[in-house]
Amino acid sequence: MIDRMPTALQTPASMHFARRRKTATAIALFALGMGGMGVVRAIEHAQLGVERIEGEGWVLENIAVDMNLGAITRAQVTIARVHLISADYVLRNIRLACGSVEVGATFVCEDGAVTLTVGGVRQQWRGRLAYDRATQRLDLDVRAPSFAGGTVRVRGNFARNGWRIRGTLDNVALEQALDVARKLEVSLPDVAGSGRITATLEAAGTKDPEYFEIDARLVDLSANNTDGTIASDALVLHTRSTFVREGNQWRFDVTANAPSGQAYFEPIFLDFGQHAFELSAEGSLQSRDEILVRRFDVDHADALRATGSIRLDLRNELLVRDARVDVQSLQFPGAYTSYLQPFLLGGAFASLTTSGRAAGTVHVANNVPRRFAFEIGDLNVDDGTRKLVVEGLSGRIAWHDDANDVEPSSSAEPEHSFLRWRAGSLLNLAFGEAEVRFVASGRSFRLLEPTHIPVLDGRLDVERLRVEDFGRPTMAVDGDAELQPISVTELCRAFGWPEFGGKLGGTISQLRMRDGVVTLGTALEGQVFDGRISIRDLRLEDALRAWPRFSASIDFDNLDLELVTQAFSFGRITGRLSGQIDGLQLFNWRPIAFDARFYTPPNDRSRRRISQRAVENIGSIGGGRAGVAAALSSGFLRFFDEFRYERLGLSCRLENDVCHIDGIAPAPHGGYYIVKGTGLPRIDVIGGAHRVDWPRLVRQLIEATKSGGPTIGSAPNPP
Amino acid sequence: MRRTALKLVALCMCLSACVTINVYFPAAAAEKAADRIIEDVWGEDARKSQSDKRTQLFEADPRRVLLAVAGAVLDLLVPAAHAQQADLNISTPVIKQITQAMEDRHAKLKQYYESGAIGLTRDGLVEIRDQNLIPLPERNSARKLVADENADRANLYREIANANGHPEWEMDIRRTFAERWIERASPGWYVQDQKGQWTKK
Repeated sequence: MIDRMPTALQTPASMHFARRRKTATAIALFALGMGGMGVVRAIEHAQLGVERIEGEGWVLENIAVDMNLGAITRAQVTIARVHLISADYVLRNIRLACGSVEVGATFVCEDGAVTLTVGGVRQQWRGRLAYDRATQRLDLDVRAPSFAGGTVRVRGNFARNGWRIRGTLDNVALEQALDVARKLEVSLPDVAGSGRITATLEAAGTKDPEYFEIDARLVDLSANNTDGTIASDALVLHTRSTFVREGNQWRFDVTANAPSGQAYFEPIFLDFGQHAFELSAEGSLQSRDEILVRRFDVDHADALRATGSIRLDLRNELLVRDARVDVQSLQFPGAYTSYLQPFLLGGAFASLTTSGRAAGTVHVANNVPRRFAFEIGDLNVDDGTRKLVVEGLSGRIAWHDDANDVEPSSSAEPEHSFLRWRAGSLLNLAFGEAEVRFVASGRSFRLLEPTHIPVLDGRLDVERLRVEDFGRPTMAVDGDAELQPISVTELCRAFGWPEFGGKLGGTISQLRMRDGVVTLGTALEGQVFDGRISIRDLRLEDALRAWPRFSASIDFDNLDLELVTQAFSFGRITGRLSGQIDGLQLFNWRPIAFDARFYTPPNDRSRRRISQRAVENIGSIGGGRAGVAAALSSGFLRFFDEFRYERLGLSCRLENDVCHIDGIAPAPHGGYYIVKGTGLPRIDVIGGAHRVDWPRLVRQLIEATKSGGPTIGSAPNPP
Repeated sequence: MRRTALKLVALCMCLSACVTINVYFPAAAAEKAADRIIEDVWGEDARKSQSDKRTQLFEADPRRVLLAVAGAVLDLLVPAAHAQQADLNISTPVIKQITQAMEDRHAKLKQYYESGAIGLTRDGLVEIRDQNLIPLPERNSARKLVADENADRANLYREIANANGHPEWEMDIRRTFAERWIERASPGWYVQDQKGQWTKK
């Protein structure tokens, strides 16, 4: 136990190296002392105390050195306090034990162990330290065999002409590492996370750093910021970056790829397992506030491939000063689910099935898109409810912000766009192949030439269409079109109504949209059941939202009742029928209110006959005067298939799911005439029920028209 | 003295010039209507809080029970004003359709109420209060659920006001609903207090 021999030479208890400025000087003095002692081989135990050593940016206090000068020189150094001034951090009670010390031209501490407390956690580092007195070069190679669940190794050399340091993290737990970093009071963004990191970090410089290289692989990274706007789950991220200083700038070259895991940048959710992501970028950090990405390449598998340049301004908020992006390909559905869908939440386009591709260029200045041009190829869109279906969409859309565009070409006539499609469906109405040519700039859209769109078996000839203030609540649409007659049967089929014949067409002029409400300045005219129909006061609110509201008034003139009753299998009635449906209101395409009346036109000269079945059906609607059927089937009336009538009529005012029914004239006992007979045998149909439950009535009417055998009963007392 | 007299005259003139607008809002009827709709939309979940509340009442200290009894007796002696109020009409086809849509949506929203990801706000809507409780792939669909639910709720409040011929009641109806949603929320769900702070029921 040589080191405990009391005969050891006691060096002066305290040597005060006050105000030494350079690290090198301090270490040199220490080494010199050691060298001096080396001469006196007989001395086997040396102790040295230094009160304070100060260097550039650091201060060591109360240093005690204890040396054993045996065959192998061992040393123990304790430092009570290390103050890293630039980081404003204090380390206490550092112990350095050297298993073997070589003191000569080079001071070498082999098999060293440093014990220090970092962030409340006692850390032990092992390694080698060498200092060359002549060149004043310090070499360091230390590792923490256990750091945050993994290992860390730091190698470095510091000389007069520069330094280089290389750190290796192997399988370090991010959560614990973040914890240590927080305890070290390193300012970190407010994130919580777990995962493991394996990385190599290299840095070099003369005085200040001039070079950084990072090669990191993060595995199983699940992290999020406090408000959850940025998060990742089981993310694997591999990044290689180099930063080289050039004058006042830092040139960088970064590549990153995420082959699996998920990430969320509100509102964009990226599933790298489905669409792996690769990014490479090179550019420079111009100053503290400006980043210039000279070129970047993004490859988001099956979603996006793009290249371009970006200038970012970091003052205040992140600002894209200027970005020019060449979108080589946007592939659907990946592009839709990753980049478009999140921005369409709550609208009509929030859950579309898409396929196809597009490519184009985008120019953004000061965070605002200035111009873009996209070529679209065979894009298919389907919302699954036939509210919006487009098949085989292709063409070119060019747009620029006419108000803010500073491009020299902006003074010229805006670039023309065109779109064509094979087929589609809008609000259940199927449309066919067509092409539209238009100009889009700022928030306006203008049709360049009339376009013809087949709709069902008819055609919509759009003469004029203009949109202003697109995407704002004040959005305004104006248009004129001609609807070439479409068959009513098709229309009924499209909306799932009972089918009947006829044609509908007309001039759609003064189509306007203001404050989300579409109105039509003219009436739609049509021929149905050999008569005329006119739809006026058309109004459509929130067409593509959850609860569309539609209102209109409809006039019927001189319909052939025989055709009507045939169409609805209602029981044959001959004669003519006119009527109105005023104030028709549909909520979510279901009637919630109207005031309808149908009647024999006053000057009707046609042959008016009503069949037994029709009498039964009508009778039951009017409240099912008990025994209509019984009366008809008993006695002599049963020998007649049909009866002559003078006039008939029925009205229904729908309000709150209740149909308030009336006929053509009051009848005794509070009833009303629905059919007034004439001749012999004369038959009058008198209604009694004034209030009928509407949903039930509709159900029964549909059943009646389906089966041909109606079972219309009087309604229970409606609520 | 003279001045005071002048002031009095001015005050009288002011008072006589003021037109009293009596805005009558049937609060109790609105509460009842809200409860009926909440029961439709939430089903069983709306009843949980009620039964809990009842047991709580009896477990509470005797003074509260006494107060409750006194209240009941008072109710008996003095028929409450709201007893005479007509019910609000909430059975229009529009309200029924919206309520049905909300009921269907509740099946999906429920898990987020229970996890605490989504809470009930003091203004009668729902809000994502802790996005980190929602798995990443579900975040956008949860955001859509919230957007749709809030659009329906806003529509519902407006429709109830319209259906009862008082569009100006919309804000009162919304306020009533806000209170009732929170009151009827199941234990464990998050609700906002008057200051907008989240608390767990």
